[in-house]
Amino acid sequence: MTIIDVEPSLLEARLTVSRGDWGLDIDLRIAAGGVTALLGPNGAGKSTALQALAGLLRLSDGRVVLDGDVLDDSRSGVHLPAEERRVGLVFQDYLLFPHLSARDNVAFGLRARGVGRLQARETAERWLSRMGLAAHAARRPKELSGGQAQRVALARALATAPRLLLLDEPLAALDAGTRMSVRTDLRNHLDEFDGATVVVTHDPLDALVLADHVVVIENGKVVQAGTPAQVARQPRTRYVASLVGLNLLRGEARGSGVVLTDGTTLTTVEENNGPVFVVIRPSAIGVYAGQPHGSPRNSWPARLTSVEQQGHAVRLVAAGPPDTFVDVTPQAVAELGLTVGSSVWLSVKATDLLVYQR
Amino acid sequence: MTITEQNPVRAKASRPPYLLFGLAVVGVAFLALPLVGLLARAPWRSVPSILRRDDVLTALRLSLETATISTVLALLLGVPIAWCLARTRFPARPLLRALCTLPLVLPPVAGGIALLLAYGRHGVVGEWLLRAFGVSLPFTTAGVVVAETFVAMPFLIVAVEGALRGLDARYDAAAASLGASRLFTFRHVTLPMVAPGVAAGAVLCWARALGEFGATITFAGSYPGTTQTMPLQVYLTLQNDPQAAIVLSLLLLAVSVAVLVGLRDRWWSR
Repeated sequence: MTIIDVEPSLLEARLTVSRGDWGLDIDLRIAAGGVTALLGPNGAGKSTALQALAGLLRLSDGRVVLDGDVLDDSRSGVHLPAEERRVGLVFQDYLLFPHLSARDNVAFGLRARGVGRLQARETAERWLSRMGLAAHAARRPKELSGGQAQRVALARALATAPRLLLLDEPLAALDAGTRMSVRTDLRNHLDEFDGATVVVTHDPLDALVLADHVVVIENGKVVQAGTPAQVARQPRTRYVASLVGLNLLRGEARGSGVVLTDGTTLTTVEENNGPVFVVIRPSAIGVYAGQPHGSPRNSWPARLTSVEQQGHAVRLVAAGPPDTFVDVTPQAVAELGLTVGSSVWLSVKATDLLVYQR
Repeated sequence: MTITEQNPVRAKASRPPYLLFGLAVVGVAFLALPLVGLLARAPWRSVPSILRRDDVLTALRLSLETATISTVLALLLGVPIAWCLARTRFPARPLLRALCTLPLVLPPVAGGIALLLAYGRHGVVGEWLLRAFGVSLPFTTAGVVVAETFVAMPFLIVAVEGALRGLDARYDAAAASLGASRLFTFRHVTLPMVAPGVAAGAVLCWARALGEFGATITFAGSYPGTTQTMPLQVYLTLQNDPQAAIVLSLLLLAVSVAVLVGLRDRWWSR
């Protein structure tokens, strides 16, 4: 068997965990220095995958190889316990030991592995300095802010020199104000880490900023994988499309027309054939009081089921067919008198349709 | 009568019904009067001289020593029991918990008899101990420690198990992910985090051991200097020297109050 990999994978994992009628079944390959985001809705199996990689959970089936070491192999019955893996784990709520100072929290893993007290402390202080927390070394976790606690947790995990770093919703416990700066900070620290990293998140922005590869999980299965740009540009499920703020329609292309699953037909510029996705930016859809005329347009009547301010735009949810969401300016809402229940015509230019194979 | 359950009036909740209030007052008086009696009838002038008596000091020292050794023993054995009860899952766990807390409800005298049958000269284990090592526990100071540990350890187990259950077990996972063995995690994470619960349990255990009477007199007898602890001496002194008995009781009361003060953060402030 010859598999030619451009980049050899540091982590190769096939994870299968069965629980009653629910099951997780995913493949992960991460190169050294690579950051993969596991993106998915609640209950998709992201945390289960993380626990399995950390060794806190036994696989029903599968194999995990990290840097040449077999951590799990259900066939031969190998299951290395968490404490014997070179895997660092940062919990969503950090779980810093409340009775230890920031320094002793970071030194904990080293002490547990038999490093002398003095040397462990020195290493811990070096890590805290790298995180910009040298002045906070003596503080207890409850005296730290959320962002500081997050960095201490990261330092604690990295101080043991893991080959795989697992981050569980690393920014979820922070308020919106600090999240932005912590996210950028985290990205910089991950850039310096030479092992493999898995970030579990349900926030697409985390995935876009932190990861170089995104794996979308729904219902225990990988539904899409690729670079953040690929996933954002060409979503393959409704969940991914809504995450990145795009309309995703499915249909059958026949030349310059696409017959959607709801029966309506859209006109496209390019010619295609076979099953396709059609992606429409919400701001590319025009809203009219009556049926519009002129240029190669697609238009259809719709009824508004929701009108909500989102940032500077107003998001309309329009029941078609096809069902879409549309971003318009507040002025347009006022001029057209748009409210829930309004009947309108929607229109999109053929050039604003992105069509790709399913 | 109309029931207004949907609309309870909060202000009324603070005033109990007259009947309950009356019974509560009687109850408080019942609990407090003996203490008042003890303080009122105490021969305060002879307190210093009685407290300097050799037999009193001997009994006091014996009590403090045995209660402390019993507490150390209870910590050594009881904390692991509490950990197993709180952290492991096995079918016989409810049975084990019942067994370990039985001495809480068992009359101490019955406990003493049971100890004799187990660790006595002709007991199940005692006979073997005597033959193999020449060790005989009944009617020795070691026997006092055995009796006190038997009766007092459940207090420690219950307190520590409660504290362990209140602790987020994910800290164990965090420690494991950092490479800590289970024992290292227990020593450096679990134990420090439940330290207040362990301390409270140890204090309760010590106080219970200090006051132990029934199991001690049954299993270890009442020999001055070796097995006659304070409670035993109080009881015996009452026969011929009631004044001294009152003073000794006062001394035990003082110790109890000190224990309560020591635990005030856990109980009084609630």
